[in-house]
Amino acid sequence: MKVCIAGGGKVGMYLAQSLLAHRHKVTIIEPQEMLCRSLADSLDIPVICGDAVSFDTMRTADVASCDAFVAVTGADEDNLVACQIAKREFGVDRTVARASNPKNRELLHTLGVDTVVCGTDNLSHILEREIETDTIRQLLSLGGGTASLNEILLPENFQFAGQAVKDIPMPGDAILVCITRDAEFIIPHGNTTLLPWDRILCLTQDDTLHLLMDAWGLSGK
Amino acid sequence: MNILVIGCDQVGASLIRDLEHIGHDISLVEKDPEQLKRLDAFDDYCFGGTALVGDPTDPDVLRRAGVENCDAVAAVSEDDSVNLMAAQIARSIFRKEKVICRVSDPHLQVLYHKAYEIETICPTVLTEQSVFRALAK
Repeated sequence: MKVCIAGGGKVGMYLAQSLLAHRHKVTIIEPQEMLCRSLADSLDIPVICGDAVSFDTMRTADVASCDAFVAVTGADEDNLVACQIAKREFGVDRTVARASNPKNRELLHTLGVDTVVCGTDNLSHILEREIETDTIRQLLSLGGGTASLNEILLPENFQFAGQAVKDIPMPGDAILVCITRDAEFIIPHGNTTLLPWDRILCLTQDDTLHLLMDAWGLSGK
Repeated sequence: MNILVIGCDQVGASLIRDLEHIGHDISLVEKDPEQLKRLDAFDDYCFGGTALVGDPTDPDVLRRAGVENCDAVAAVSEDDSVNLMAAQIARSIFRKEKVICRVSDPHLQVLYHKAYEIETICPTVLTEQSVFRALAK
């Protein structure tokens, strides 16, 4: 696959390295001449020195022949406009933009970027989770960082111990996937009861996970 | 008319002055508080609208600046990407009919006019044409 990356900073460079390792063809667009030199020296790929938000630079980079266009500069508005030019003017199928501001994740998608990745958002979610509590552990991030599969260890003093799942509050978007009780593996139904020391796998939207934790009295001491 | 202006460099400040002179109500969004000083630099004019310091590519900032109740939006900052993003937010999120956007790159001017239905004005083309006419006559 042929990929053009706009922005040769740290993110752009590591992305290029990992794409090259997977045998993709990579071109980078970067406005700073110094950075261009070091990229060209260290990666041995075509590096175009110029403003990414420019028709001429993108034509020089032969963006029309690329299967994907990735914009990872530090400015969200530049990433948006670069992706739009790649799509509308050069007919690139797949565009990906980095959003530094978490608020822009949805916005850029609405305005036509196929995939928007927000590093700040993902990182702060991970940090928040690590700090929050040790009764919950994220196993898998889903939906581009908007949802996750979590393991919850019910504490000794779990307030709904012995009650059936159907009687326990379940706020927000959450599904109990399974329960591990000692060596026993249980797929829960409405009548299944929860007990202390159960390990629960729970699929949730990230922004409603705290509601569940609050309702179950698990959000910190 | 209520007009939302984005960007207060020399173009923005002069535009605001001229629009207020003929009786329009202006709301301004500008990233850099230093730039607002331009509005005080005119001899015969004093800014009577509202100015908000904030990121014009943030829909919440535009909302606070009154985008929902304005009749037209002019994105005239120095940065093409900022103008294009703000103009698209005004057009496709706030459904504004009259959105005018300053774009220095002539190719982008054509692309965004055609593909995104934004009225674009390109200083590069206008300057070139003026100089050409001055020399060619």
